[in-house]
Amino acid sequence: MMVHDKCFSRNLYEGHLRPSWCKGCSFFNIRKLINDTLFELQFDPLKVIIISGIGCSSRMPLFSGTFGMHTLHGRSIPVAVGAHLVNQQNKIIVTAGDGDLFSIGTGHFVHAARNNFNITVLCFDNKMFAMTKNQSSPTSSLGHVGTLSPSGTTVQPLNVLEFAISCKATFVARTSAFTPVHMNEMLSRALTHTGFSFVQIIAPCKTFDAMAFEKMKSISLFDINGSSSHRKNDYDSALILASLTCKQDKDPSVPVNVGVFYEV
Amino acid sequence: MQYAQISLPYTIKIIGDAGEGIISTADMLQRAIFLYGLYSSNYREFPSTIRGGYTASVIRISNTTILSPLTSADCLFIRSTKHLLSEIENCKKNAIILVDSFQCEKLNVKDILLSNDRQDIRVLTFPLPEVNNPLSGFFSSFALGIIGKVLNIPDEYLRQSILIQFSTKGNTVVNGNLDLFTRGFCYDLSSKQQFSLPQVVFNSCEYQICDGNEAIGLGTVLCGCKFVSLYPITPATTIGTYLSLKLPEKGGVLYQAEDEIAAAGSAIGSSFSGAKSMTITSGPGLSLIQEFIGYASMVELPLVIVDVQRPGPSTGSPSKFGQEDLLAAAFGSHGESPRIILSPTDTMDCFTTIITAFNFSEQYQCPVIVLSDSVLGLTKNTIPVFPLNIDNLMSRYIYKGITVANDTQEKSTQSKSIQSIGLESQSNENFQRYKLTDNGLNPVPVPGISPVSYCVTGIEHDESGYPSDCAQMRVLQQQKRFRKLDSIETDNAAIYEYYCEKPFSDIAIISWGITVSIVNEAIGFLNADKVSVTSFFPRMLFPVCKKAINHLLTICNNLIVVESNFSGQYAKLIRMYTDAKPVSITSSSGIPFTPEHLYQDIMNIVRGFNDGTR
Repeated sequence: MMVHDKCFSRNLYEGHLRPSWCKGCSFFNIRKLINDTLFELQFDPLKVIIISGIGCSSRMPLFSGTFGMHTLHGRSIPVAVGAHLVNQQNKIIVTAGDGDLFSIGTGHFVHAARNNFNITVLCFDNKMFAMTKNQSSPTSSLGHVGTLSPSGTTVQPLNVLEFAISCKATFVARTSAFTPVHMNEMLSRALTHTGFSFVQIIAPCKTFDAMAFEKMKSISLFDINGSSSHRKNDYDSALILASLTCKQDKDPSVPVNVGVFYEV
Repeated sequence: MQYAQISLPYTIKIIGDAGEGIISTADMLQRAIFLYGLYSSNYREFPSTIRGGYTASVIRISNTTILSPLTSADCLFIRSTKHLLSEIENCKKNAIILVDSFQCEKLNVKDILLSNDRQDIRVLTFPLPEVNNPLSGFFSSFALGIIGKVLNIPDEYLRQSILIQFSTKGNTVVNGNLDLFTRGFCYDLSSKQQFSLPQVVFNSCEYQICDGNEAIGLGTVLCGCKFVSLYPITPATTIGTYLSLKLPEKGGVLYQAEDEIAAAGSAIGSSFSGAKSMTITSGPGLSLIQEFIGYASMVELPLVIVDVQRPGPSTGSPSKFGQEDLLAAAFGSHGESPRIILSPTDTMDCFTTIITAFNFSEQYQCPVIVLSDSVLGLTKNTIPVFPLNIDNLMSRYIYKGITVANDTQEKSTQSKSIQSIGLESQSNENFQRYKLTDNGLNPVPVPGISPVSYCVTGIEHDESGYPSDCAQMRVLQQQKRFRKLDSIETDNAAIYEYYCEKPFSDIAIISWGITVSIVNEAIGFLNADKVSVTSFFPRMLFPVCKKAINHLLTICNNLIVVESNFSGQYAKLIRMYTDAKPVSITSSSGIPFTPEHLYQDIMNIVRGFNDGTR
């Protein structure tokens, strides 16, 4: 993308606080890409509101140069909806974790997606509650060992892609925190989508799941929008692919699916 | 035939089962009386189900503003009842009972009157019409005819009322109802005495029939509120019904959220975006939104919360009356989060109080909770029409940059409340949203308007608003949040009504909410008994009006607090924050005090004060 004659310089998107995330955390990558994408798309930083709940990823607005709301655990989406409804000129972005969005916040996700409110929800998915030092979350894999589940969980994870599509979200995508080019493309499309857009960003926790962290950096990804024949405007195909994707996630020998699953 | 002028106020009670047209009868009667030109109030008791269950409407007619919505009945119209004896006990002397002949036999009305020494009550019977379906007319129209005949209301007003009631149902229904009305109105009740209605007192185009919920709704729109969120709950929902028609006309948004937490959250998000915002709920919803009340207090954003109270705890009695949420409203939320509580005392006051709520919320940048209740909310009263515009509206001071000297915002708050912030730079690093000013207030950046951004957080923060671990700063910020409300009592007029009949009157009565109206009527009885009363009715319940109450103590020793909850919640607040040790009169039956009973309760205490037993 050509970058010239920009009114808003890149540094305006940076906050003045150094992020408090662990050294090497994958969230640094995500933050950089969010700022890069906002800069490329030239959203006025004074007309962007980043809204979060509570958790590691929810610290994002505190480290941003845009307006921000660091709210209550699980409640970023209703706050975002209210902010959006009174001024649709502002760009509303929710940045929150898998626990925040899909444990306590599940009910709110359903209705915001169903209403197709024009907000973008970015899930920094590390498959656990990391800030409280590793408890299982609804996206944790079966058998996840956490401080409250020492013998490993016995429940299948929630498939957030399938869930988002079934809630009638009109843009559902997945990317990895370790693939900046792909992440940039997904964020760009989500932020310019008209309607409710959701991106699951796989971003394992370096501190509490080092193995998953290293694996994600090296694992093969499969771009479903590449040469595959996935029809992303077809609801049924999207659901089937989301379901298949979740099954494949459990198989370490199969590449992880990323890309736009559904877009209408 | 004797004609006796009805002595006002006159109370008609209509009782039956849910679904029998009780409320429709009362609504039409009130409308007819309004068209004729007299004041009326229309209080209703209804069950929390759609069909079945005790339903009653109480219409009071007067030539002046009506105070208490409920008193003993002068006229009792029985459609059906399971509790005849207690209804009869609550009838005034020389009351009239109107009942159809079949019910009269079945309930044994005349025998019960005889055996309970109530031969003063006259019973007038009529034949029950056989039909009650939309095409041939509802029973309520027949009942209107009977009552209208007894009270001698000119039939043109009764007919007009029916026309208005069924105006959307088509000619067949309207005519069917008019026919049934005529049958009732023309039936000869063989009454030995006829009433005549007193003279008309007002011009009906200067007045309106309105309930507290509608008054709050209209006040909200006129304040320039642009966002109202709620989740349906009895008895608050009708504020939303009203707003769903009026708010979008003014470019506002009415949002039905998926639950009360989402309703409160969306109102906070909307407030952050610069709009005056409100959420509406009842007791159970207040419990749910505690976390957001604390959040609003911590981030110092304006937020108005309306709690139309009902008895609790838990689901409680959804369709009954109580003032039981005061302490929950004052302290609900973990940690210590200052907020303001206001409570209107009558229907018109619902309109003025919601305006004060928005003004305070914007000015003091904190949550304001308005405590209404099911009686205030749903009793339709006759009040003057509302003004079309309101002066002295306040808005938050939006930060527009340090070079802006003469901004065009509503003047009233700015020069007095906001101090200069004297910044050099406009980066959000140096912007001090939470500077430790003397009055605790600072300008607020708004997305899309302000030249600098900021981030709100529920975490304890320093002056820049970003998280801080510093123990000293923590205390300073807490002090700042509380300090904002220090002078609220002295800075604002009209946050309480204070009437001192004479220094060192026999008693001083403190009350709040709709109970004030009932107390005012009881004071009439007390004065007739030569009891002198000083009264103090705060509209702002929290922070407690310390100065006013401590002053009250210097001119009267016998303080009585009257309120409609079990544990005397406002009395507890008074003990917490002032030197007063009041006596409590409480009621938590789910039905409002009647002025007669309240007068008795107060007299018992007066005697206790006088003979030294208190």
